[in-house]
Amino acid sequence: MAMIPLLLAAALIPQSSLATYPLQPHGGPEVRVHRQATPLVALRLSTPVPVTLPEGAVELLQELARPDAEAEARRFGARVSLRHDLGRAVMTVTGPATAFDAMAAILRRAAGTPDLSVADLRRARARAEGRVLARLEQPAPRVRRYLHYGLHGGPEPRGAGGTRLGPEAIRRVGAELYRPGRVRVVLVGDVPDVVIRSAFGDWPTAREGNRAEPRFDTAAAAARPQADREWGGIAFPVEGDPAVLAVAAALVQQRVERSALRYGSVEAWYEPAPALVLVGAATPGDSVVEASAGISDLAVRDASAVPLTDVRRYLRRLIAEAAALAGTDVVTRARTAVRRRLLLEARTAAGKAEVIGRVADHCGPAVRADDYLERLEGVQLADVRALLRRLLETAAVVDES
Amino acid sequence: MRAASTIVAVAPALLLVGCGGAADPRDPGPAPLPRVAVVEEPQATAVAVAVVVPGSTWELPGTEGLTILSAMTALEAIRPALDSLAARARVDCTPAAFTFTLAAARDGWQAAVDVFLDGLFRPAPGPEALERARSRLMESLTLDQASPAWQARLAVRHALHGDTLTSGWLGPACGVPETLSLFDLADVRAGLHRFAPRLAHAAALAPEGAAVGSLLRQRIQADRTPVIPAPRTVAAGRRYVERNTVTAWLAVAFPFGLDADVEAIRLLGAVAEDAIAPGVDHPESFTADHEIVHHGRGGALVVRAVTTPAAAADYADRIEAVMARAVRNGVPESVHQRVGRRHRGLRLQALATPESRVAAMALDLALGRPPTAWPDLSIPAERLRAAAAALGPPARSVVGPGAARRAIRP
Repeated sequence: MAMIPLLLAAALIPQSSLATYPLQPHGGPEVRVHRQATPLVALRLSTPVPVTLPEGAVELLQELARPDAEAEARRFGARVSLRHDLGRAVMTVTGPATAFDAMAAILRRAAGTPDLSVADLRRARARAEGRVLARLEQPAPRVRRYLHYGLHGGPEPRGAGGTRLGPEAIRRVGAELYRPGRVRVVLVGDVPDVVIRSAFGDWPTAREGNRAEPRFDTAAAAARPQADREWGGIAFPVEGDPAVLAVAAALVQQRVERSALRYGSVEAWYEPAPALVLVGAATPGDSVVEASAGISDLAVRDASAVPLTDVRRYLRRLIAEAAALAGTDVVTRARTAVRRRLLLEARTAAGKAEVIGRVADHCGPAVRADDYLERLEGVQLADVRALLRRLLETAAVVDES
Repeated sequence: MRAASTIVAVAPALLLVGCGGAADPRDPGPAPLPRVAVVEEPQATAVAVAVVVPGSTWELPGTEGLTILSAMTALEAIRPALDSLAARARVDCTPAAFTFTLAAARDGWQAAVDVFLDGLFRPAPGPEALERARSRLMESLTLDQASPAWQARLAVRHALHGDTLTSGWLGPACGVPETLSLFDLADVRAGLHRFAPRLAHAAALAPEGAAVGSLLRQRIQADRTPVIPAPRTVAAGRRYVERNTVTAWLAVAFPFGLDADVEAIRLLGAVAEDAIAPGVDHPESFTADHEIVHHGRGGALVVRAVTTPAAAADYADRIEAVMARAVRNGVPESVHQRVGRRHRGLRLQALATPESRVAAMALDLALGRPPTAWPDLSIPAERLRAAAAALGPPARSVVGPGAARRAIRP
């Protein structure tokens, strides 16, 4: 066997594949570092979005930042992503380690005071409005958004009013959203600590001044939802271990995939509070949905006076079936599937930053990603059954589209 | 506050695992490379495996697509098992080589690798797997065939290799809808013999290299090294395909030999692409890109552009002029820095997933090149100039209306 000698660093402490350590740059956000020998570096910045923000405000801030961020990233062959997942604004930059300083600068500028020239603002408003209306006009994202609104409140998401914020309100919202104490940064790569501290120190801070709530334009473009079939969703607030919620969601997803429902999905939400969410659709006259109409569900109580549509009744039935049919083998398969999906997602630098960051976002900074994987292994049948039974006795937030 | 020096990242280690092919006593030459390479990355969360076998050039007229259909059928047969293990497999097809890759979580990787290798080397697909594979392929090929880009890919091969070779080099490596519908399970089972271990090179990436290396070594026998086929190359070939399109699809291809510095040639491709990319200075250019195509005696750098028909000849000349200047005077320093900086990032992003890295390594082994865990992207001016000087006379092809035909004048 021909072998090339192993390459070893001089001083070595073995690291687990998802371990991180915290760095606190002076005047900057905490950076969680996963040291990994790779020529690529991945940076992920996330911040929680208050439910009181008007619809489209986050998108507007992101679209103001996007042109410069993408242009700078192109210079180094780096990739930038700016997205708004329900409850959290996330920016990621992935590129060569030799361009780390430039990549960190991209994040600083995107989180700083935006350029508010008339032309840039007009362009950003148009792009942001397009994103928001796409979310509110397509059935599945719309149902999800309304379930989020039903669970957590805030302004009703009828349209893209938040994209019409004025310059002062934009600056105020941005300064608050990206305040160092709110922001979480994850770095995957091999960058010296002193360079990281320098790149993320002295973060842009909020200006003093008028702290009134931003006003938004209720006359902005209203969404015109479109659907060619009946869509429904149900969401259950949940208490308890996030790992149990993740396994329960995977288990119910397996049930949905074996059902006759063509468009069905199950999600575990964690922010600002945990919930299990199901969304599905059926065409009128679908035999599977008709067959479920009138079926009394297992131990279901719903305090809402709004009658359930057939799709939502069917989704509720799937949860009941999942609870009744769950066995040790099924739970073992579900938790193994959740673990493996996370490990597969983390196989790249960007994926690893996303997994580490998402676990911290969802479970709190005290829970590390490798601890979370261990917790998944510890989820038992009794835990999952208890959670699903509690759901069936819980008043759900319901929505239709 | 932690001491910064106590945690140091471990660089990946590259192990070349045995199974070197037997040397030919009549032509000892340098010892052949092993058939298997393994990269050990202790912090990897997944295991990736790639297997490369010779491609579809053996296909005779009327059998176009049998290799890819057989490959897709083999993967469809194991897809349920891989899904249950949260693992993913795919196949990429070129005339010279087919590359199968697997990515699996580090938990339970061995079961996924066993399923993957059994699916390739001991396949037993049924009719359902064949029909699923056929359906997926037909869908993508029907879209592909309608595109001028597809025509352009075939046209440049004609320009590089002439008209006298078998359809296997000149036709689409991934089949055509007309012949795909004709193959039955017996044909596909015969086609599966093309994926035998004796024809394979493999590479893997894992947190612990020894176990996966041992598994691959058990499957891939140590007999004569399989050969990736090589076509005849025509000097300065030309090919025009008339299509009633509003744009012209242009390609200029620079052949190179086995000893070529492929990474430096890639950077040259980026320099040429930069010289013709859409922008305020190039209003007739709509897209530009570049690609390296490989075969058993080297390959070619292909620089492509979509332009207005009248401008196709001018852009083809520009591409050749960039290469000629690179040989005479080198690439200008400012261009080298600017394009090199961007190219470095793009090249690393293309290798971001472990399965893309092992695919590149397995292909290097199959082509007789030493594999590396990451490519050497430090390309100084002299290395770039030497790579340009090693390129052969370019071939040209264009697909488009009559106004574009001028692009292929001698």
